[in-house]
Amino acid sequence: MSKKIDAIKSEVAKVVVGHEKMIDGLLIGLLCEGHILIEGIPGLAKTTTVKALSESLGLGFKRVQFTPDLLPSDILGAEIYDPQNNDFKIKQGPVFTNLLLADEINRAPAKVQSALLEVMQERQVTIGDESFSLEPPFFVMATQNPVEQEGVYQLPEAQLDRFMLKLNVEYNTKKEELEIARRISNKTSQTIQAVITHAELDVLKDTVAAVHVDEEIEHYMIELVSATRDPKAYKLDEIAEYIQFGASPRVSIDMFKAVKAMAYLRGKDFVTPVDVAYIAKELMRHRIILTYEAEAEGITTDEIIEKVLEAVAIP
Amino acid sequence: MKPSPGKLFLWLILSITTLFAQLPYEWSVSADKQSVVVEEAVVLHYSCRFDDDGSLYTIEFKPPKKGAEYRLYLLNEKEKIRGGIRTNEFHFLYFPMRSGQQQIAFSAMMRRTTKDSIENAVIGRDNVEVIDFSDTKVELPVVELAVSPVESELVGAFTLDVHLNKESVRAFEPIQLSVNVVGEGNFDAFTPFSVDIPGVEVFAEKVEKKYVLGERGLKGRWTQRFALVAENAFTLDAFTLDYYDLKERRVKQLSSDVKTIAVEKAHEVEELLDSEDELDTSWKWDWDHLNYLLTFLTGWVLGRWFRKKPLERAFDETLAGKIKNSRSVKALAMVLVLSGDKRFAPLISRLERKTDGKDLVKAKREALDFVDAEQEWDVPKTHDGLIGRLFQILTKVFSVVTSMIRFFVGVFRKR
Repeated sequence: MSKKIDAIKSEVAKVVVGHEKMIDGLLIGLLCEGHILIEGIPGLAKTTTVKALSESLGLGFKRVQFTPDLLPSDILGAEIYDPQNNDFKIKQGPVFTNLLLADEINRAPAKVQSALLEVMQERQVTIGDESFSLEPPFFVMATQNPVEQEGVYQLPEAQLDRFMLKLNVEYNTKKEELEIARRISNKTSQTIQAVITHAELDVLKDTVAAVHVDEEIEHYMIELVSATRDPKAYKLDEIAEYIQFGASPRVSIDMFKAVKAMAYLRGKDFVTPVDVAYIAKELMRHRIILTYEAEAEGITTDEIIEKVLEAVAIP
Repeated sequence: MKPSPGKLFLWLILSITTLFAQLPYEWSVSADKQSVVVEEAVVLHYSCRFDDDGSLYTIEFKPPKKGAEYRLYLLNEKEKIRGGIRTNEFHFLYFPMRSGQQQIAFSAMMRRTTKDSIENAVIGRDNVEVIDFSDTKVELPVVELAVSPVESELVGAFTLDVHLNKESVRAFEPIQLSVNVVGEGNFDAFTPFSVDIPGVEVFAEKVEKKYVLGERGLKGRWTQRFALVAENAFTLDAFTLDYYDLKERRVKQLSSDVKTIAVEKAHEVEELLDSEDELDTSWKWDWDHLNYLLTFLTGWVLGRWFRKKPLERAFDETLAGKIKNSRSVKALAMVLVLSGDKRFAPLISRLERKTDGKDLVKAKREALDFVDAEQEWDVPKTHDGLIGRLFQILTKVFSVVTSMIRFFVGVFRKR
């Protein structure tokens, strides 16, 4: 694995204890230019991790706290009248950055979410009559609280589909929590340094893109996605009644990119089924829509994906 | 300015002409009686006859409803035009309140307008909204009435009815008493009865008056209702009503019977409660109990039988079970990856490069060692050992059994 990746992880580890899967997921998003959705209950260092990562990358970073009264112009920008020049001038919103942290995205109403969705897809912002292209790299890291909590709007499926990965953040282990408590009480947290330049990041992306994916692995990935749409064809009758809609074609596209990054992070220059398995849940868990029966019986998309991975023949 | 003789003469001529000019209407008045007693109703009939249809006239005839010597009610008011002649008739009910010779003298206001004024008001010309009138006050013919004194406040024809719903009650049990006066006369001068009996609590309702105007006075009913509550026996005195009877032309007295109400002793508290003998709390066998039990058991068995339980089959396989059932190294690697346990990472990396069957057995053993190994930080620390857990199970079983016993005992006791 690249020394640069190690360096980034080391810098992030200065302020974040554990959460390796979340950090790997964020790096995959960075290397593949995919947007990331992070879900977890409050207090699990979601925002801290994203902020630490941006600082270690030396990229432009802006954070928007989504609230129910947020307006699209609050994130995109707006035309403002300049009385001195008797003219309108553009005030760019926080979306004009490299790494946008949309904190608690599901607290904003659908109007704002849709505005962000357009930016994520087009990487372009239109204010008034003028369009602005966002300077690469641009990717959105959004955090959200579980929808069961009060005062949140569930993200629409179309927007969820635009997130490459959905990372579920869980509690730290007891050992990690002990370390966190010790660090905070002893005030031993350190300053994060930028350890990579834009040019080096571009090189890393090129390297990841060059990771070899065997044709069998490519077929395997397509089979996995297909199995979520037609489980009975893969003798997965037991989960067929729980799936309303399977994974979209965007999953296949993102999977082809993400598995390369996963293999790279694991120190390899070729992809194996294990790499696919490592990232499959994060790729598909927010893109499979379950039936009412599944929700009633407490079946999660993660369990569905596990069954699919166990059932589809491994090359 | 000195008035000229010519103008003065002209004014005199006009005044005399106006004074003796024939009015286009004529009032007449009559009474159905000339001699009455105090409070005896007299019907006054006023009539105004026009020479033509009288379309330009409006009559305002509203004599005072009450004076020092009389009370007055409007019985009816009619207007009719027959043969192009308009006639207005007014009928009043007159109650004299003092004796002696009375002269009934009222006045009416004759309001005259013009066709132009009506037209202007109807079409709204010059923003005219109301019709112009010229008013003339007319003193109506006087009616002479001889009023004799009478030794009663009530005059007319009445009957008295006093009704009790029961005449024998328990102490503090209410008795409904109603007093009804029915008839025709000066009901408006009636004074309500009052009931005051020592040792009896009296609850009175509002007086109910129902009467209409008739030619002999107010005709209808006067009702008073009372509730009488007493602890001991009591006597209800007679109700008496004096009135001047117009048919017999003398004072008569109506009287109800004296009633003696027997009041028994009140109920004791014990009498109001069911006797304990009626409640049989002892348990007795009933075949219905068997029905309840069988129904409960049938429901429980059917519930178990039809309960959908695919989850246990599909999703509850343990990690150890999955490891043991893995048929290849790749499948084992997949299981370990999906477990999400980062301790398997080195093993997974090694398995990625191995495909031998011997490696599978070894890898399974190694993986199971991880699963079985009790990591100090991964096992929840509790105070419960094997005995503690056994005690918890027994406690739950005991709780379920006692709940069932309580349920059935409750059912039996209700029976």
